[in-house]
Amino acid sequence: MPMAPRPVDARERFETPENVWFDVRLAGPAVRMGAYLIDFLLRLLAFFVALIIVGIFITDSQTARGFAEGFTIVSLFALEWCYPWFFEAFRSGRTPGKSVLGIRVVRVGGYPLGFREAMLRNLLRAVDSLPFGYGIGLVTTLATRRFQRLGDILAGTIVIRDEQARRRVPFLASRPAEPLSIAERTSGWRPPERVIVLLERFARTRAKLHPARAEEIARALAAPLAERLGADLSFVEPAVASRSRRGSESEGSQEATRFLLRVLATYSDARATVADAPAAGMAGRYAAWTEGSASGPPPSVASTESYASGASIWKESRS
Amino acid sequence: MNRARFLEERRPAWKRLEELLRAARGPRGRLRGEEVSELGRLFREACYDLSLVRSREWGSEIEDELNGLVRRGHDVVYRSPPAAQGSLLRFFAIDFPRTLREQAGYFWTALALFVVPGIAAGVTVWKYPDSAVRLLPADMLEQFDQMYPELPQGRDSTGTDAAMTGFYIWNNVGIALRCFATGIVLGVGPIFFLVQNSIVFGVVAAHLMKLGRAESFFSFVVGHAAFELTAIVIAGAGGLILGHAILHPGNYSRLGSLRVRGLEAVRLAGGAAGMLAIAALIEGFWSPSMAPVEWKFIVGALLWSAVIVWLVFAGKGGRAG
Repeated sequence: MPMAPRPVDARERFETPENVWFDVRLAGPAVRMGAYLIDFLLRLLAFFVALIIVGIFITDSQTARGFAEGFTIVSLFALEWCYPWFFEAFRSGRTPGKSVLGIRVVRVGGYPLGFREAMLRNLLRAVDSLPFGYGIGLVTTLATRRFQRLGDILAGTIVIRDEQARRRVPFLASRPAEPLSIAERTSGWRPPERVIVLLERFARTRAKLHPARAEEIARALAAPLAERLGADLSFVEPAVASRSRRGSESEGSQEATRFLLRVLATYSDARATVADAPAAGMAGRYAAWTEGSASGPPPSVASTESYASGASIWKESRS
Repeated sequence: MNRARFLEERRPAWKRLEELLRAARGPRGRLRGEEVSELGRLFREACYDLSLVRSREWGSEIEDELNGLVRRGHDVVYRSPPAAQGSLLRFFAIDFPRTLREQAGYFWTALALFVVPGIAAGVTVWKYPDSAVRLLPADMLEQFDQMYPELPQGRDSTGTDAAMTGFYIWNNVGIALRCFATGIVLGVGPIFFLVQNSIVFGVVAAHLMKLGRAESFFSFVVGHAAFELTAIVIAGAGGLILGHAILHPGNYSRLGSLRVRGLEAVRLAGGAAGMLAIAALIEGFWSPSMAPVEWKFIVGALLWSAVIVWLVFAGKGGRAG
């Protein structure tokens, strides 16, 4: 049975006992190297601090000097072997270097590390760091599916990006598009949920695209939409003409894009607020209508019917 | 239910869940009883919301938001329990000896690798004293000659003792841990390490005995040898487990077998590291002391019995957790 090819990205999917899955992003070798460097510098710093403290308290006596030496060597040992293990075991897989760069170590199933896993993965640094500069570790990281070095493979751990809550960025442009007026929407058809979601996605990714490319995509969506809505299709004509030209370099006309944004502004609930005077009336009525509450009769019998038929028309739009 | 109403209803719950998660992760990290059950309930509801949004295809922005929420909630809800107070003690008193007894086969193999070549080399040097120079570099032999003069002498400063303790910790524990880790290369590392050290010990012991320094040498060594030599063998055994897991995975895949047995073997490495720390203390402070030779042998015998009793009897009658 042919299986869909696995997407080539750095996402890992965890399935939880709540019968839901969620995605995390894996941390690649570059960011892990960076975290290691930060940890290395921190350890160096800690060692110097220890030396300074020892230097303050040292006296000339043989005993004190001996203890100072012993303490120094032991702290060197602890910083080399115990530092990463300690932090990963007691801080849920976050060493200070990893915290700074926003990554952490977890078990393959998405669960936090245990002591043994932390110890095992760090003990194997002795092998991962061969022949020099983590050579074996780097090769294994690049070769495995989940960016695991040898210690990770053995301990069953992976390193993921530990993103905290991102602020929700409003996806509409700084200059909000004005909604379509009734006159422009002659058919009274309301785009179904899926279409609005599609328009939202377009609006969001529009910023990442070249304007001409965005316009190209917009035209594909705008024409059938305008037809269903009974809007003016005049902007389509210049689009047909310009298709013969080899992709406009400049901004060109962004008619289709603007049209889609206006449709989105009309129907998207994310935009509807009480303050938007022109839209509020329509949004309020539509909200009441779709909830089926008895707060008022639907705008017109005709539009109810066309909604029901509009939904099915969209499915048959190919014909 | 439509998307707008769904968002309107569920947003407060998600906000509350975010607050609770932040409190749980925060510096104090403690929630009250009813907050804990509230967190559990909100988390499960958020999981359901995520499934709902996905199945209804209500937009990737909401899906991403909920994905992040569920991820952070999952992290808090399934975090590992805090380390129990006496877990270190429990490890050394129960888990470590149990694991060692369960992996006894590897221990005996490592012991054989550690003892047999040494005895063979020692007998050779005893019969043919000149062969000592062939087996070990001459300057190393001279160094040992100097360390163990005819009459045992102690070090007279605790300062040097402390320094040497630190050195022993750094040197021996590091070597033992490396011996364990290199076991992953099909067990070649530990085998090489055990055999090499065995030969060195055998040659040095026979050489010094031939020179009549036996008393000086053995009185020094017997104290910490109980912990140090045993720990080296145990670390080697751990490395052998790793190598064997790749060669003979049994019912697992090779990687799976490595993982399962590796987690067992790492206990041995941890225990060996602890034993070597103790050995370093003994080697730094007790062994070079000016105590009379008889005392050193008596204490050495006691330490050997203690180690054997501990490893053979501690935590008997149970499986390693």
